[in-house]
Amino acid sequence: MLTPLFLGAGILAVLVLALSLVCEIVFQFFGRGAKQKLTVISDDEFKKELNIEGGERLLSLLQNNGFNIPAACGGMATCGQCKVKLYTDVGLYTAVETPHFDMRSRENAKKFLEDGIGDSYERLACQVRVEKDVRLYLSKDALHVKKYTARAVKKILITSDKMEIWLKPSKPIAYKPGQYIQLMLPEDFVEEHYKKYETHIKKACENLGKEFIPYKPGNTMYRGYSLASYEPDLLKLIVRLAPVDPSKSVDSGGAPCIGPSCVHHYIQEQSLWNFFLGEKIHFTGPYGHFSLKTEPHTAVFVAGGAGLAPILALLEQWFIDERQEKAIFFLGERRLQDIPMMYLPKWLKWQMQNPNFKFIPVLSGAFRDDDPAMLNEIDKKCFLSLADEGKQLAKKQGYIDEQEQQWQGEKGFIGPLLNKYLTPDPNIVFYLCGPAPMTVTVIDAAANVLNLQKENALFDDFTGTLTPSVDILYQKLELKEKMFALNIPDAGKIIEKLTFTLVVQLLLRDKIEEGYTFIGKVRNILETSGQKDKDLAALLDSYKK
Amino acid sequence: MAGLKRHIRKTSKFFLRDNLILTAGAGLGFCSALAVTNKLENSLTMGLGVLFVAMGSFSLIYPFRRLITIAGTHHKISLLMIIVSVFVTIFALFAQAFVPEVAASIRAYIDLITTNCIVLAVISEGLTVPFWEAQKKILKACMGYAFALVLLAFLREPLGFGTVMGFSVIPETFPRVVLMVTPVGGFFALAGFRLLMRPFLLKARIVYQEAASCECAAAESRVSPVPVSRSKFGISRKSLITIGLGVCLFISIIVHIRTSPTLHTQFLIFLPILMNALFFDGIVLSKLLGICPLLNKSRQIDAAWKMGIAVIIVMTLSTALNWVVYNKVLIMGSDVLAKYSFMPIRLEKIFYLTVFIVTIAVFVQTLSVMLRKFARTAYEQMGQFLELITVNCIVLASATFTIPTGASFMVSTLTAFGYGLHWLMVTVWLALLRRQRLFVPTNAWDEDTIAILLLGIMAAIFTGIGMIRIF
Repeated sequence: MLTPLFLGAGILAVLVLALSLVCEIVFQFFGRGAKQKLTVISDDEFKKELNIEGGERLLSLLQNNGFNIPAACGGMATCGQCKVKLYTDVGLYTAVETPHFDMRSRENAKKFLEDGIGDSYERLACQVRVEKDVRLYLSKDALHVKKYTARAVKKILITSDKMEIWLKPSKPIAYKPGQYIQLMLPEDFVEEHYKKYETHIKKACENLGKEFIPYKPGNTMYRGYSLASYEPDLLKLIVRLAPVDPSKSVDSGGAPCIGPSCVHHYIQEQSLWNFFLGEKIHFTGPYGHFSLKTEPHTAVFVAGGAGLAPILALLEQWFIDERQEKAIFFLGERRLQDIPMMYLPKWLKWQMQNPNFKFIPVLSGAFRDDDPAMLNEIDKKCFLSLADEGKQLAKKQGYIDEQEQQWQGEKGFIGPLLNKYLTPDPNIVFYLCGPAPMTVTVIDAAANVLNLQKENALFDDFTGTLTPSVDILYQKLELKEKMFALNIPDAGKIIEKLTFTLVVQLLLRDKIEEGYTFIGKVRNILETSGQKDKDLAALLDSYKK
Repeated sequence: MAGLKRHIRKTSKFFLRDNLILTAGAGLGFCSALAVTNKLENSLTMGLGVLFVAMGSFSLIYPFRRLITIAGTHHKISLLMIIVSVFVTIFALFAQAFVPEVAASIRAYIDLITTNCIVLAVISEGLTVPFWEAQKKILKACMGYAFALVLLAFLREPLGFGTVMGFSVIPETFPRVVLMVTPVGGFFALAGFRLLMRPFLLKARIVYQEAASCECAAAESRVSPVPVSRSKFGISRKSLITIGLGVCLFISIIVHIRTSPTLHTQFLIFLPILMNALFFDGIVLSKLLGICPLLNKSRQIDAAWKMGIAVIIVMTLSTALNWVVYNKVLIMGSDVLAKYSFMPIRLEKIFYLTVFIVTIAVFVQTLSVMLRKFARTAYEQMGQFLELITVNCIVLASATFTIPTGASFMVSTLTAFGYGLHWLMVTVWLALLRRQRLFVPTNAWDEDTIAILLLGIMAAIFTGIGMIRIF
């Protein structure tokens, strides 16, 4: 009864197997490629080397090795989704690929392939055959990063524009203080945000001199947040609520945030469908090497704004480890009201108990054109909210006068204060986190005044511009020494102007490339020009506009 | 409340954003979308079929993904295709049992779910992500496809038949637009939909204007003259003379063929078949197949030629091979079986799809490997196109349309050759027409839409030619 069924299946199986065998034999005899190496590079220093057999398509190689490359058409060069960035030259576009690339990437590819300018170009992965060792870049979405879920269980407003958010992860996470996580923003949320604020964001970008990147559907956005905590089962983040442009509030038409930095809006959004405590949030991590050095050193912590978070964690660890070395904590804020009153008593207590620890809050009063020394109503209210013990400590340690009318601590910016509290010492380590202007200027000042080594300035580079900026600053330092060695008249003044141009006009506007060319021009003048001071002045003038 | 709004937003986008037929810049799955949407019930059956096949076969394939990886890329497509085609067969049998009329009218297209671009794409993409996430993606893609089909049917059925699901909705006196019933109407309906919906979708921010749109157009017009002016296939004086001589020779052969009676009878059979496949019953313009690669590869004349020639080679040879496998292995196997069995098991009735697609996959893989080894230059010119067409619906269609009907070897092969030639012809024409930039479209979306319109006009002309009775 069943025999014919089996027979039928057998005939089919034999047929299919015979066909496959033909394919296999042909492949074994003629299709084998040489052994090649495929290197996949991604953000967060991800690197993976794969040993593969040449001759196959890049798309299927990557998909077989577990990378998630979108390809709606299944590798027929129809959808154009499988674009990858290649660091290796694997040939120009094939005819079917060309329509998927716009003018810019075509020119880019041409430059890369013909003149060797730039470091990478794009191709469709389904049209690339791997015939040699290939290095390529994949975005984070393509990797299988470990994702965690957490719920935002508590939100505390610590100052008028900063919020502390407590996340309870679904399972405990091992991390080091000072590391950061990347919160995932759902695509539709980001899109809605752009829909609402696109014009504002554009304007803010123009004002800040940054490039406006319009919203592109399809990519999940991530935003890095440093952890302010050290417990494995409770993560604390500090989120800043202030608008991009500090001089313009959201109500008066300012943009609340650029790009994917709107996590707090998302977390604040209440959902009807959420039956559990707190909003559900996905994140990846932990990342980063921003942690305390183990060898003995003088530690300088510099925090500003929302950058307080990792510094808080590091400070906690510093005191848990009972380190006895000298430590200074600079906190840069605009006014008294911006200092989180929640933490103030703790810091003051540390200062009282540890003679080696110094807490130096510095109020700048920037952007509000007022004197931070005179406490206004909000400042007073904030201060009043402190417990009595904290108030007493603050008064005793000389930050606030007895009448609670005046700020008697440091004013201005952190950079100029460095030599007041520190002496040049090769053993100083700076831990910096805060707005880019603060970080850059403090490192500049420290390098000038304290001879801070480049490897001793530690910071988290979320935007990717800080590391090259610091590199440029150290190049500038070399030039400065050269200038003094060459006895150029008015070298001090020129250096000052040069620093201003470099920092304010180029680095803080994210113009890293121009920064490098600027430094190159200056070096060129120093090396070749006959009238060095005049040429330098002319160069500076050309950047003045 | 914000949460509720977000959910509404999400659901609306679920269907319209990334919808491969209605909103995606590069369309996939057009063929069946155009062919079956003249009735709502057809659309629903087709949508359900794609959903069932994609999700079912993915569930079966997913546990074997390690095997597929180990077996290597040259076996991947055959392995996927075996499972997919089995599911298609199951669905086809179900459809025959429950909705026999619908199944009878769209049987050919149900078979071709096997090579539906969407099915294979979502499956091979899904293998790289966790199971449920992949299922969600598949559901999204297939629901989007079904949704687009239903939308198209809602336009075509009332206008063409005056009915929706068989119920009359438009009064008898209202004139029927017969165009909408015919395959040609599909082109116009789809193009119309895409043109009409675009502004609304843009306004609602469901789709976005491509950022580099004008740059792109400018780049194309600047870059394009290079491959065009090289004119490998352009007409010079010499080639004109050659073509003229060739035509004269052809005519003289036709005229003198009567002198040889055997040739004459053969000729009388085969010429109409070739002409039919080439012009009157073409695979693109009246059967509405092979449209996604056609739209895409016709962006560049260079690519159109190469792809077309690759299609001709693969179609002719694979159909010939399939005829041998079908008639010599399947039918003879069934005959042998019939001797031993109490019940009649006809393998060729049930498993023809599986056998066809596996044969095609193996053939293309083998061909490309051989080319790569022995004819490097030819491979560099054509190889990539060869592999693109393994899962092309026209290749499978040229087999399923001819072989199971019991056509002879020569007839099947000749029909397949005619289909291939037809595809090449249409692609190159479309590429030339698109190069003329009739409307100067500003983005890829509009360009595709206009290409569909152009195809529609071409199809209308060919339908007209088909009406003329020559033979």
